[in-house]
Amino acid sequence: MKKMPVICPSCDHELEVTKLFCSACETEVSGKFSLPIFLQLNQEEQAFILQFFLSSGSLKDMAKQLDVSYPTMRNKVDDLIEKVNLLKEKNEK
Amino acid sequence: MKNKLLNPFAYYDEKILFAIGIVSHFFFTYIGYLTKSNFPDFLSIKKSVETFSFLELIVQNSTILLVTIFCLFLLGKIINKKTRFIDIVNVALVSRIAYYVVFITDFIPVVNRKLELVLHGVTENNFDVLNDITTMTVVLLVAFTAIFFLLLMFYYLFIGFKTVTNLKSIKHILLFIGCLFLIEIITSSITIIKYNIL
Repeated sequence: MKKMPVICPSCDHELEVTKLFCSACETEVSGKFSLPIFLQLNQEEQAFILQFFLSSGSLKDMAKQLDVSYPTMRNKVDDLIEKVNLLKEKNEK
Repeated sequence: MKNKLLNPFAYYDEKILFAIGIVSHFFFTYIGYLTKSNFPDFLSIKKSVETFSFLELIVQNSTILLVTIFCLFLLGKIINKKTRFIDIVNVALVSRIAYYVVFITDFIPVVNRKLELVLHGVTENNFDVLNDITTMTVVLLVAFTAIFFLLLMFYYLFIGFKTVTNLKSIKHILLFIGCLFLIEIITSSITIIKYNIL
C-alpha cells in the first residue's frame, strides 16, 4: 500500500483532503477536510504510536523492544504528547 | 556500540547502570584507600596528608554522592515532574567512574617518582626540579589526563541529566550549571567542617 503524504513536497506545508472516493459505487465527495491528528504525524511517529498501543501502553516493554532505556522512551512519548497537543490546539482554532 | 558508550543512560537498563555504578563506587573508594587518597569534595581526589581508614573514605565519598544525588534530583523534579530517583542515582554513580580513572596514574611507578620529586622540591624550596624537562613533561601529562577525565565526568553528568530529565531549554542548562557549583560548595563545606581539611 502506498504511504499517504501528509506534508507538501513542494513547500513543506501540511496537506489537506479535498476529495473522497467510494470504490464500490464510484461516488466522489469534494470539499476541504483536515486530516485527523494521527494522520498529521509522520510515518515514524504513527508506527511508534501503533507499537505503543500494541504493547498495552507499557513504556518498559517498548524500551526493551527498541533496545533503549526507560527515560529515552518516556522522553519520546512526552515529546509526542507535546506535538499532539499542539496539533490539537491548531485544529481547534 | 559507539552511541551506547557516548550516552549509556539512553540505552542501558537502570539495573545494569546501578550495578556498575555501585560496584565502581566501592571499588574505586578502595583504590583511593590503597593509594592513600581522599575525596574532599565533588571535583577532587587528593593525596591524603592524614591517614583515613577505608570506612572513613566510604563515608566521605558516599556523602559527596548523596549530596550530588539530592541536589540533582531536586533540580530534576523542578525541570520534569516525571524524573525518577533511580535515574538520577545512576547519573551520579556512572559519571563519577570517568573521574575515578585518574587513579590509573597512581599505579605507574615513573609517574609516582616524578610527582614525588616535584612535591619534595617545592616543599624544600628547591625549584630546580621545575627545570627538568622529563619531570615537567610527566607532571603536565598527569595534569592534562586529570583535566580530560574531569571534563569526561562533566560530559556524562550533563548528557545523563539531559536524558533522564528531558532537559531542553537554556534556562534549565544554566540551572544545571548552578546546581554543580552548589554541590561543590556543599561538599567542600562538609569536608572543611568535618575533617578541617581542604
